[in-house]
Amino acid sequence: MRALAVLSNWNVVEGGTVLHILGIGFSHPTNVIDNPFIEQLNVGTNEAWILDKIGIRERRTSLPLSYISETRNQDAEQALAHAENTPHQLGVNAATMAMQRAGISPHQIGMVICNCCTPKEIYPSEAQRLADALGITAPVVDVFTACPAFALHCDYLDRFDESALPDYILALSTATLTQHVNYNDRSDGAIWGDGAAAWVVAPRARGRLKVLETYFASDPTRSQAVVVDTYGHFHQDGRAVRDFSVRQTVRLVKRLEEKFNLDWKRDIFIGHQANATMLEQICNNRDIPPQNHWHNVSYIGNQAGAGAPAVLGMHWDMMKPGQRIAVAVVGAGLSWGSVLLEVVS
Amino acid sequence: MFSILGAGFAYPEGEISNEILRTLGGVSPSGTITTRRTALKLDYLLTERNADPKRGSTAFVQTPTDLTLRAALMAIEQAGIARSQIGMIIGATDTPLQVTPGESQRLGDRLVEKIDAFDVSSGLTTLASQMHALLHWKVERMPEYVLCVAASAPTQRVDYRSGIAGSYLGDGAYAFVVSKRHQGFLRVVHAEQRRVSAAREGFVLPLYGHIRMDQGAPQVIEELIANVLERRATTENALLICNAFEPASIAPLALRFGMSDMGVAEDLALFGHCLCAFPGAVLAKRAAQLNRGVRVCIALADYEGLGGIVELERC
Repeated sequence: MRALAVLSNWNVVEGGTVLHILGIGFSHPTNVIDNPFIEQLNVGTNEAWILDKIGIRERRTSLPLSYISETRNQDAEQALAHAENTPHQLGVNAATMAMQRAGISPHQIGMVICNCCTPKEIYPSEAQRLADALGITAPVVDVFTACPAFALHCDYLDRFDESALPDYILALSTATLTQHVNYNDRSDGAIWGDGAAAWVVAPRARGRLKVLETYFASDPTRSQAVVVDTYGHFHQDGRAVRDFSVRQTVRLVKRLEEKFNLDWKRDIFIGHQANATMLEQICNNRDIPPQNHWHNVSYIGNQAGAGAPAVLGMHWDMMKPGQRIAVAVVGAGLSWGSVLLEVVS
Repeated sequence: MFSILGAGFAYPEGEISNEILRTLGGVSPSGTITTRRTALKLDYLLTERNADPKRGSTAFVQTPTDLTLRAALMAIEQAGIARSQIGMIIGATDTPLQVTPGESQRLGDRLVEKIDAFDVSSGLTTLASQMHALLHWKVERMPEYVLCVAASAPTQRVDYRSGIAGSYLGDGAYAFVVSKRHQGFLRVVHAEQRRVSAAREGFVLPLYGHIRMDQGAPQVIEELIANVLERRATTENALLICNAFEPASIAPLALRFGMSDMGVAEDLALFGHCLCAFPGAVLAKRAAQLNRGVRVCIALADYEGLGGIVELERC
């Protein structure tokens, strides 16, 4: 058996299982919450403040704008009843795109792993509902950590002995967090969007993206810093989470730079899609030029675990062979992780 | 070798007896279940019958994570290790009071340890999916000790004014300290998940509102468990743990496949069924008393047609 070099929690894939990502899909609702809409809610914010602090112009939501205006979503249970999209529907769309890009059919999927922090039902789970809708008969598992899902899923699969993995795995992250937002809060309403992303992973087939390294870690002693209450709303310790997000992302990126000699004239950075101002701060810290920083948060909002992989999916046709893509994500848990990818075809 | 070094379980102290069910008036006690454990305040149940589960979410004496913590501390003590030696927590709950963070992360917070933590769950087959992952992870990619937990408090989702769910369901949690570098007292020899049938109606646990459990749900899960066992050739003479709801069905099911009930019927009768946490709680309660060489077969099924098997051997 070829030797693996293991550095603490980071798995450098030099031998052993080599994962490839064959296709990535994404899906977002069509309703748009723009900054003028938030201004007219009269919650003490304006576009200038939003752009300065968060850098987001628009977000996609599964909720009717009239529902938000009339109720401010004070009762999160009612949001579910009024929503025009569900995490399941968005996930199906994203998965369909991913499988089409991968050139495989649902019956070829041997495992489904799913991350959803806004399920409509616990039984059956989102993973099960998605698999049923897609015609997938493989086993399904919810592998969950909210925002850093892309890093967790890649790292989770990378831990398996290759022989125990099926030929194709469908991984998804889907969430409709605007259904848990209190729109009387001046900042929460400006952050969140809804969306889904899906990616087809293969341990033996070659695909567009080769996984060079995976990493996932967490500090649950700070888990109550970012919370979505089942019967209530999202809430967070904003300042602490912002500091954590910037610091941790910079650490993740620096480590990848040093180990893999990343070249920001050619290589790409994708961060957690929570706050465009924060991402700009990170890029300035690491001298990443704007054209090599891919993002979508400024016009979609924070899509939780779907954000970073959706960015990948949206840039699917822009990837250049030989390019390396550093995905560094942080979020609830508090948890964080990174995936280093190489564009191979 | 992948083995269990420590096992823990937790049931809350509150008891919903058949007399209480009759007092509540809406739920007829099942013939063979005498009590169910609940983490809810009994006076809340008696006055409001959990008509609004959202109110029930504020009526806990112990939260699901309180139960997870108790089970985890038991497992860690039995394993003879310090909390700081745990390298990872894999968790699950099907009755979260917070949809984010995950149960594993809430537990890590309560243990006051910086541990890598995330949730792995698959409903009623959760124990199988957790064990399947850990069994098939490369040794070098698995921490020295991993804590594997699940908690369920379905009584907070039961409508005690009507239906059958209140007769069968109770609250509980399990925890296991596992390792591939140290030998424990239970070796995990096999773990798998697979589809065994098309989805069947019978049981829905929504994010909001009450559990919907059809009259035929117990019989459906027994059929699905039998489907799981039919696909497994090596069950003879093992002790069976399964996630059936009806105590009276366990012995015939075990006998049909050449096995004996490990204590499922007794635990169902005394504690009720705690959904994703049930099979692990049964195992944790009895594992240390097993004789060397005894084999255990855990057969799990859910209403979506997913099946799971975990086979263990007492070392």
